Amino acid sequence: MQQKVFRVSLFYALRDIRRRPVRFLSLSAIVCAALVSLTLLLLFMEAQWRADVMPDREENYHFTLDNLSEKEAAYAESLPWVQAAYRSVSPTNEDRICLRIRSDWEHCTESGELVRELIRKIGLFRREPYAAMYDTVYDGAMAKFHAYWYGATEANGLTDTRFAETQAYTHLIDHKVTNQVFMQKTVNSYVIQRDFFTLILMFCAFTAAAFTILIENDYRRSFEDFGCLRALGFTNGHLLCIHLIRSFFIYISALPGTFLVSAGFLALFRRMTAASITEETAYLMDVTAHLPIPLMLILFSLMLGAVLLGTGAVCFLHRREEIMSLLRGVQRMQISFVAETSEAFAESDSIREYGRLYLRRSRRSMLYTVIVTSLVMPLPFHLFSSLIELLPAAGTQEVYPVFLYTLLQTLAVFITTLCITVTAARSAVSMRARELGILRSLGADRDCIRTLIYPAAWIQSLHITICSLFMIIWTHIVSRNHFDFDVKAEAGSGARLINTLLSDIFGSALFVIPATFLGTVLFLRYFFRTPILTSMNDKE
Amino acid sequence: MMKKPRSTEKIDIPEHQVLTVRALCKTYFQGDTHIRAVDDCYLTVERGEFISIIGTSGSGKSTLLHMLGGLDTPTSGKIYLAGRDLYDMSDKELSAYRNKNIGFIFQSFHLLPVLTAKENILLPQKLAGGTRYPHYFDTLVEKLGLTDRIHHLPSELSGGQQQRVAAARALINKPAILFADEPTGNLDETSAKELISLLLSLRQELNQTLVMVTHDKTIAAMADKTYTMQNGILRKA
Ligand SMILES: Nc1ncnc2c1ncn2[C@@H]1O[C@H](COP(=O)(O)OP(=O)(O)O)[C@@H](O)[C@H]1O
Ligand SMILES: [Mg+2]
Repeated sequence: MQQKVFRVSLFYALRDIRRRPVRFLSLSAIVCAALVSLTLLLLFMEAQWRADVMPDREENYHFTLDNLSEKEAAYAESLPWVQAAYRSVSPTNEDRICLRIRSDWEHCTESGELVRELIRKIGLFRREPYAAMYDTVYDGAMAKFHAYWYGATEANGLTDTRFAETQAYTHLIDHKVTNQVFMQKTVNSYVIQRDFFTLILMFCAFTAAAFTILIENDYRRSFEDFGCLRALGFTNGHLLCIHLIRSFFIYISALPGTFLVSAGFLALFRRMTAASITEETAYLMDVTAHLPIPLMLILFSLMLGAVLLGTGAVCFLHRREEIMSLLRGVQRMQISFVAETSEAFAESDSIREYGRLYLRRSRRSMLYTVIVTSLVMPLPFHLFSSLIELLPAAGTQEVYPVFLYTLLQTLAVFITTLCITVTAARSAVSMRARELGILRSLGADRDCIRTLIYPAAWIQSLHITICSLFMIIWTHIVSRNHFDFDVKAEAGSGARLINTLLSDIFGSALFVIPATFLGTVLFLRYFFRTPILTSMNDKE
Repeated sequence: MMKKPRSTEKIDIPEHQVLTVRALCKTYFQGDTHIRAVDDCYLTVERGEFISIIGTSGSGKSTLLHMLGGLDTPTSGKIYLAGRDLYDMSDKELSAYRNKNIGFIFQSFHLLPVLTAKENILLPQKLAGGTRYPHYFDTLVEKLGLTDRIHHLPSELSGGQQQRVAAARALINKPAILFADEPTGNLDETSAKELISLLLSLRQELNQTLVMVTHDKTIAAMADKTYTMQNGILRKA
């Protein structure tokens, strides 16, 4: 029984895919763009994670020394066990010199002499910040030891070498620890690991929601077909099965593109950063990237699940639809409407009147488009604002790869959003293909069709802009608590808020309006090229 | 607003009565006005009978036929098909019923645009499980003169051809009862005659029951019983 349901559903789903390629491919493009963004997010997260654990795992110990002069730094670098000295840029713009030392602790103890020498030469403990640090970090016993060690080195050399070496090691380890904290601050202050997952899940949820609404839109356009199937004896279960199969294929067909584009992005990234990754910074950003395959599989299945769930939800929503109302379909409603108003075509004023009437009647489908588009809007803007924050430090060696990653990531997400916006706008007008075909057959010329379509597109894009703006501001407010992006954020937060607000308003308007129009124009180009009769048959 | 009728009373329906309609009403609400498309309709159809319904456009013939075919829920009243309350069945039962026992030729064809003529015709058979009547397709297609058009999509067919495809699709599962809504509306005189004679011969052959809405007086005259419909009210002619 189950098998029979599946077989006939598969049969129909495959025919539908084959003979309505435009609808299929546009949904597939959206899934593809979403998956590419997801892959990049993952890649980014993985790189971040590696940057965090590398000093530990590869046993690269790092010293951070404040207030070193260039000369002192050069001296330190010349020491055999110091592999590199590098200047690090922190968000607070403190100038720090970091030393990367030999990779294992054996070396550290072996070169205890040298450590001591360095410390003596530089006179580390006489320096103000270190003295304070040791007071707080070490307890009383430690402090006593320091006094002893310091005294011993100063006066008559070391009396108890082993003890001193152990302490030197402790000292190193401690530096490693403080150093780790520092590392996280330099690299990770922009994107905080823990919240990264939230970001990814948010992304999955948003894409699923957008996909659901697009499927819903798609479903409405095929009302008549489903009515017909129901009339022939298909049950709601069959329809669900057809849709799940179709969505599954949409997802599957998005995969090759996803891999290709992701690989392209990755290659591009490597190429762009190759020059900047030097011996010293390689540990910060290991981009000979291992994509975390298990995590990727989990997230990809999560996305598939989301897509199928969304599809199921759409079928569930329509399960009680009457066969006759399905058969009448959206189109038929439009046609009777065209018939009602068709006398009023001679003058362009009456065309506008007709356009207004239509808008009033199709409020619901417009609402869908508005929701889809504004749902996906916050994410790109969110990434965009972190990109802006990275911009001042973008030139430095450590931040450059992070900056590039964020740039590509933002780009990918913007493309996803663009795909969704354009497709949503396009499918919103192409719902009207049949109606417009009839209008053409009644003598409406291209200008007349444009007068009909463009005001609607304006109204739609304004609605989307306003809705997106609310969404973006809302995410800003929510994420303020979660994403502690900038150390400087406390300062001048009023001006910053206004800046953010203005850039959001301009950004969303600049992004939404052209995208909506692009969708509309794409449809109109297609529409004017197809013969009137084909549009009237709604063959897309 | 729309109440789904439930069968509380048990009524006896004789074996030979395929279709029994009691006090059937359909009202469309549009704002303040409501249109009584079908108004208190009674009808009995026996097995193998040919019923024709004539009436002016907008008198409610299609609405009645849709309800009889299990496609539209009545506002009130009951329909018994082979002794079973049509609107008391579960979705699954009713769907299986529509698939196996009912054939429906729509006034506006309603062919599936993504399937070719052949796939359209064979779809109900595929749904029913495949090989019930393996050679029936060829017979039907030949009798309807569709042989050279079966691999075309509906959008590539003329109105008359689409109508014949719709007829073949309705007949493919050899339904016990066939509803036809102006099946000759798009056909020239000869094709119309051929289609009608096909329907009638199949009726003879398979003891099919036929309920047909038509404008053609001569076709209506061939029926065992003729009804007229006016403003939603069904009367025997
Ligand atoms: N979905 C609907 N909503 C409102 N009125 C409808 C609807 N469908 C049909 N009608 C009205 O019901 C009446 C009967 O329609 P119909 O059964 O199609 O007539 P016929 O098939 O006899 O020409 C008509 O007046 C029509 O306008
Ligand atoms: Mg009719």
